[in-house]
Amino acid sequence: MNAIYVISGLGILALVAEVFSFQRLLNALVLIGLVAAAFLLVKDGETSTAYFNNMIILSEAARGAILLMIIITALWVWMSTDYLAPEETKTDRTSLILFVLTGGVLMVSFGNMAMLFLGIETLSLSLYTLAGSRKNSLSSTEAAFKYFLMGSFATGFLLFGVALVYGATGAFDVQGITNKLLNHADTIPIFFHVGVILILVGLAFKISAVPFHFWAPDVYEGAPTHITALMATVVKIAGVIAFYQILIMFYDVSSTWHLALETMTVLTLLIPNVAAVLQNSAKRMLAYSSVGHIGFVLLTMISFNSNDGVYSPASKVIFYYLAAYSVASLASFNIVAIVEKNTGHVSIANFKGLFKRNPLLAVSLTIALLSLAGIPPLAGFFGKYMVFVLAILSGNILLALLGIVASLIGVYYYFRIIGAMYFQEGHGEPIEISLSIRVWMFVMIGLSFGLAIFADFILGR
Amino acid sequence: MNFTTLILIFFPFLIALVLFAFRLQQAKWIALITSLLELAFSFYMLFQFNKNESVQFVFNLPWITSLGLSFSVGLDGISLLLVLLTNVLVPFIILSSFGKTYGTPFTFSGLILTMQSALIGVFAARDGLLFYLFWEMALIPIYFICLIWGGENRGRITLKFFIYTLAGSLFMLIALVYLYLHTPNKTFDIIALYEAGRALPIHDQNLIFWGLFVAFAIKMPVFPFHTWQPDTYTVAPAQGTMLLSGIMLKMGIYGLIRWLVPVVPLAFKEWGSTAIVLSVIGIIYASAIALVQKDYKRLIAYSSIAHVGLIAAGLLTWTTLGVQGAMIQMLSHGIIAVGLFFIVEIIFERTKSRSLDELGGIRNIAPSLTAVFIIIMLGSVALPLTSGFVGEFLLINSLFQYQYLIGGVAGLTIILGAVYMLVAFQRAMSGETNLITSTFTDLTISEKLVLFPIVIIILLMGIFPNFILDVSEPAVNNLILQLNQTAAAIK
Amino acid sequence: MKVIVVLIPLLPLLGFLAISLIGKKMIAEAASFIASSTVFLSFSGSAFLLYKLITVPVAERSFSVDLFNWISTAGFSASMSFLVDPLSIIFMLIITGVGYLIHVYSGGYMHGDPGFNRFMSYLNLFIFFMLLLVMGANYLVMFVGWEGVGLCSYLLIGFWFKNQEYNSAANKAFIMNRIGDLGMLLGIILIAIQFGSIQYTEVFAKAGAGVAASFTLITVLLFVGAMGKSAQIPLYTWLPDAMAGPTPVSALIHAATMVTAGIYMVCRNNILYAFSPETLLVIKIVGISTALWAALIATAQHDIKKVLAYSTVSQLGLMFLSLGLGAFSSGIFHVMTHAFFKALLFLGAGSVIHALSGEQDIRNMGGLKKHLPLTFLTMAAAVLAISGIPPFSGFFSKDEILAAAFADNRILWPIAVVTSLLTVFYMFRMMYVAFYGKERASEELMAKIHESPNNMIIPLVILAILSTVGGLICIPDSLGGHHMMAEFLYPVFAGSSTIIKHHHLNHTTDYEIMGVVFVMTVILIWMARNYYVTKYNIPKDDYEIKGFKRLVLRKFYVDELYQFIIVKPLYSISEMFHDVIERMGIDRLINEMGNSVILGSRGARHLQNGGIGYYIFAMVIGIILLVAIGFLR
Repeated sequence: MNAIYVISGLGILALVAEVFSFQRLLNALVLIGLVAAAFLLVKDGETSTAYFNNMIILSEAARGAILLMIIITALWVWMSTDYLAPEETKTDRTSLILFVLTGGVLMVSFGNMAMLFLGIETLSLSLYTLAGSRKNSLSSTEAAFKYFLMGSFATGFLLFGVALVYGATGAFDVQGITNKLLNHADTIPIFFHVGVILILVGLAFKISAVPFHFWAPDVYEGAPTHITALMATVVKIAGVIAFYQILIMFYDVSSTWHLALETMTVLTLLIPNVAAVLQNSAKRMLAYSSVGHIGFVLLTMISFNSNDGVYSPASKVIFYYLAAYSVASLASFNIVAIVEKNTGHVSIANFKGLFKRNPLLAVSLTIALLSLAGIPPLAGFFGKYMVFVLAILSGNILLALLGIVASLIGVYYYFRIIGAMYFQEGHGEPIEISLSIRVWMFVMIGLSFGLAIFADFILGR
Repeated sequence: MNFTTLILIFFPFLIALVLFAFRLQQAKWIALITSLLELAFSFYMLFQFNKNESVQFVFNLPWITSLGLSFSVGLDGISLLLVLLTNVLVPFIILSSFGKTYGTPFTFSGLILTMQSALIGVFAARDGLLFYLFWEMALIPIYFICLIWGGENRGRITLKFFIYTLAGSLFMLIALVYLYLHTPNKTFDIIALYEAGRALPIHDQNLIFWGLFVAFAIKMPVFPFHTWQPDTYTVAPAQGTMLLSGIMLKMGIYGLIRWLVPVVPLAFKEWGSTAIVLSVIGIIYASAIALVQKDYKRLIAYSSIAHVGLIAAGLLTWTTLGVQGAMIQMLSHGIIAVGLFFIVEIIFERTKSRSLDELGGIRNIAPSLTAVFIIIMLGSVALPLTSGFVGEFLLINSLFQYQYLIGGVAGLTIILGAVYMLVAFQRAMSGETNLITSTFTDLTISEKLVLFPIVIIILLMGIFPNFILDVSEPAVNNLILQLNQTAAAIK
Repeated sequence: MKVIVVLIPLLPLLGFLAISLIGKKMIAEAASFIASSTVFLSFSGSAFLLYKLITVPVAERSFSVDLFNWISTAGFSASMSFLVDPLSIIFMLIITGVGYLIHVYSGGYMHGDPGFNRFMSYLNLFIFFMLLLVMGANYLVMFVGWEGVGLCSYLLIGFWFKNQEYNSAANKAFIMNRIGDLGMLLGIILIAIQFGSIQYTEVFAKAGAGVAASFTLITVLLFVGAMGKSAQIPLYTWLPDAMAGPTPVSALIHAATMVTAGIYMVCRNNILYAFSPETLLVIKIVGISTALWAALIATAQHDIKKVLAYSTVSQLGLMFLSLGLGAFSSGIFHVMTHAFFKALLFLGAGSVIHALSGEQDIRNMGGLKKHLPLTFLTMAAAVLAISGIPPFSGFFSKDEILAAAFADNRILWPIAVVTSLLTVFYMFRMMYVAFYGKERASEELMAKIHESPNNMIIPLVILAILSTVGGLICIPDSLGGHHMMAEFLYPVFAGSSTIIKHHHLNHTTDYEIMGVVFVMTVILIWMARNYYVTKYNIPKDDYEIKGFKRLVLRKFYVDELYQFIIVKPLYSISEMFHDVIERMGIDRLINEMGNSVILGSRGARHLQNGGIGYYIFAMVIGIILLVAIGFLR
């Protein structure tokens, strides 16, 4: 619980930084604060506890997700020093980032639909602003506007869903709703199911599951690359875990949403991956790929119900997948940002000869992409691997095969970038990167391997 | 705990990491020394090896328990021979690159060493998932070798190669997972997988059989899964081609021996003959196509398909004779393929051409090249007293016992092989010199250091094959015995 | 003893290694000395072994030497072991003896050739493999030699590798032999399967003991190998082309030794063949038809070496005929005499070619008698021998075969006689056209014409003597002799002779046969002389030859036929595989899979058109869909 105080406290601290003018120290402070938060969280222990009479429930899954989000945010802050550099915007950008994190935390640890909504809004509103934070760039503003419009639209559905569920069960908090489902399943009116689906839709939008993904490619492409990185990682984690909690919550009526979820899974595995193949902008391609990865997460979610204890709980698989995925995409987006900064563009052509111009960048991007593509022995492989195992276990062999096809297509477009980087006849002058970024790269490489080699730490047994 | 195998696997990789980290310019030498040390070490293991025990130098450490993955490696005769092949060939391959200067040599040598580690891992793995991990690990370095130093439109071809083989191995992964889920206490340990697989009903076994077979067939490659191979071999740099044909395709054959037939005996009984027929078709088909190739490298690529077809066919008769033939023929083919591809590379380096229409008359200028070329070629057409003969004799023998007609058809390789090899040799080497070959120069020292030993090995293997056959025989018998027992138990 | 047996094949191998490893640095004299001396040593070794064999009682006239275990796995085992018995010793003597003479001859013939050392080393290598072939104590060792001599023949036919036609001839020889070798290999495998061993002694013992085995299949497969190696129909066309090699090669490999390997192999397996009358019949037919066919072609050839080549094919046919008749020892006998006179003929021809600096067409020779007296005399001896004029060696060996044919059935004999008469005809035709009449060679050639140096002449003389008296070691009892050679060989054929019944001719019929053949021969010689010398008809230029003669001159267009029915189809099928199945079929299919994804990607792009309204519309549709699905349960 203290972790949440620390995080939100940090946000406010960042706001006042301008007043008391200690911007220079801000990054350091934020990092220290995040580490502290992480520490506190771990100190709390694993047990699932509730606060503010069930407004917030820190379940095991939630704790894991929060920890992950904190770490990713820390890494993000580390890599984004120059995005946060400009004096005039420094403080508000920093605080917004922290509010995104706070929102995320609330989203994953909600014990009450109101809290969920609160979390989503905190996160989204900050994001809308961040997406448009490059004021002089048209695409940035457009992205922000799109995101805002559609986001609010989706939230509307979410609210409507919540309302319907409330109307059906007379409860806002998770406990109440689940009790109602348990005890008076027969008296539940039909519109309850509509409510459930609408809630799922609202969250499906957040995690950009097909067919609610349309905003993602445009927004990801338009937003400043660092923000895209944030959206693709922290926000995704929050959304996915929230989604997962909701499913747990409505587990008893899984028949309502299972088929719908399956449909979304199939579409999400197929369409974004196929669409990514012909993209010439690396950024947009990665945007599609991050949508595609949601497909695998969904595949896990429809599989965990029949999970006979191979990896229990399935949240661990989801968590592992998210961790591997976030690390890899954070790294790749950052490198895209660096290339963008040096060449002014993000088209794949700009990556030609990167191996010559800066081997470290090329190698770390290669590793990140290989991890995303699910090539052993990288973390991404084990993530996909466990998803497949779950799918096979739960008898979704066909979906597993579909997943394989999807990841093969993935290999195709990821390797387009890799191919470009090692292109011998590469042009362009070498790219210089600061020491801290170099260290950061090594950390990311280390994580991509470490998550794989020491997978037991995460998966336990 | 016995760490020898562990050292054997990771020593080259560690050196590779050093090379990458310090971006050493004299990487070639370091790599060469490394590979020689590795070779010496594997010979030391050969002498430590006890022919009559099955699996030795076992190292087993639980790795990701929740996935049932443990780092379990060990060598029996079969694995040991292939490890030896790898470690014998890699020094040659590194040495063969001395004549040419590659950009960022540390990358080049490092990748080769990484590949070596992965290959040894594949041959040593005693755990299904570990096997898969090494299997894929071997794919990465070779992909980059081909991508960075390859020839015309390498981007497209190497990517096709990568995805094609990856697709195959994903089938294998699914099959392995399926077996793993049927093990009583959820482990990938090879013995457990064997038991799980053999206990499965015929229908499931068939699925697994094809899942695995396709993966291995693509790797070797066996007709009709071979179309990636000629392009890739042709576009890859010489060393890449040597790695691919010399060692990497043996992964597929090894897979058949270790991970296919013993796992699903029932399905093998049902589908083995089909696989044999496919392989035999491949022999004729590839030989025929080799006849009409203009590009020397491509021609050898197709000939390699033919040879592999014979190996696979003989092996799938699953008689000691066939498997033993496959073993020695694998080694022989590895050596010979490296030799042939290197010679083609030498010719290409000097004349900038591989076209049989453009070359000619090299014989007049380069006697020593001609001499080694002829001997290696004879090895490839299986002339007695060369390594090629022993293998082909045993394989054809096993096939003939399996079925007269199939044996006869497979035997046609003896004729067809001679046809395309001799005709190509005549067109490229004999006759009058022309503009592009007139300035040809004979072998340099470093080239001789590669080719003369190869020739000697080819002859030694041809005259004293028993040294090799004896190493693998107990292991082979052991495998076949097991299978027959289970087959009997099922009846 | 054992040491000698091992040294006999080993020495030529060492010679080969020494010469080829030192290579060009070695001076020609040293090379030729090493090469010929090693062979001479092997010859003396063989002679010594012969002496040993004769001195021991008949029962012990066969012993084998085990060197090491070559291939042994899965119950199959092949050892590197040698067998010395009357059969192998005779071949060893022929190989090393004639081989030595030809080595010496080559020293002169190849003098000054840039590849002299290479040539000598190849010859040595050939001797090594040939000895392996005949000394092997099991089928696989024989097969090693079998393929090895094929290799040497390939290397030596294409010796002048600048000439692509020669290389093609070499390839043709190797490939055609490979066709035979496949048959042979399968035969060996079948033996290994059915007898559980490939050691001669064990196999023959089991066969004798009446082990059930598919003898016909085995023997036919083995005979296919013989067809290839010994140039029998249909695999004979490589031998005439093999004349591309230097003449000593033609003499050694393509006349005296290698091509008789088939005969050796069949004789070695006589017991197996005895069990399969069908195969014997096949051999009989193949043999006689090859003999006739080749003899016919020989009558119209103008290249002196081509004439001899076809004559060789024809003679080999006769030998197989005798084997088919079960007269194995007669076959061996003829192998020996043939080795003498055919080698001599080739060397003589070589000497002529040498004298005329490379001219090979008999139409451009004529009147060489006085310029090359020694060559003429020696060749004359050879011609008389091959024509079967008593007491020259050929008379005895050929007579045995004819007699056997006569005894076997009444149709074979006339054909055999016609064949030998044709032989007489083309031989004398060659002699008369080349050595008699006007000198038709150009002035500058005649200017530098010269009798060959001694190291070429001496072998000629020795061979001439052998061809003259060589027949005396096996005089038929009808002529008061007692088949010494047959006696000596008897233990080898003891097994089969009990199975195959020989009807023996009484002496009177034997005399009649000899008489008839002799008279016809003499008449024919007279006719030939009358036609080519007295009337002096020199064969016309090729384009003037019409009708049947042209057909014969063109070798009945067999090469063209093979080209048309085998080579062309093979290549067009390969092209089809490559262009249709590979390119448009399999590979296309794979690529299409990839393309389909790209196609889909094009489509997916259109989903993403950037319009918010459209996006929201899509979302709503989605929601409705999901809700609908939700209620579809």
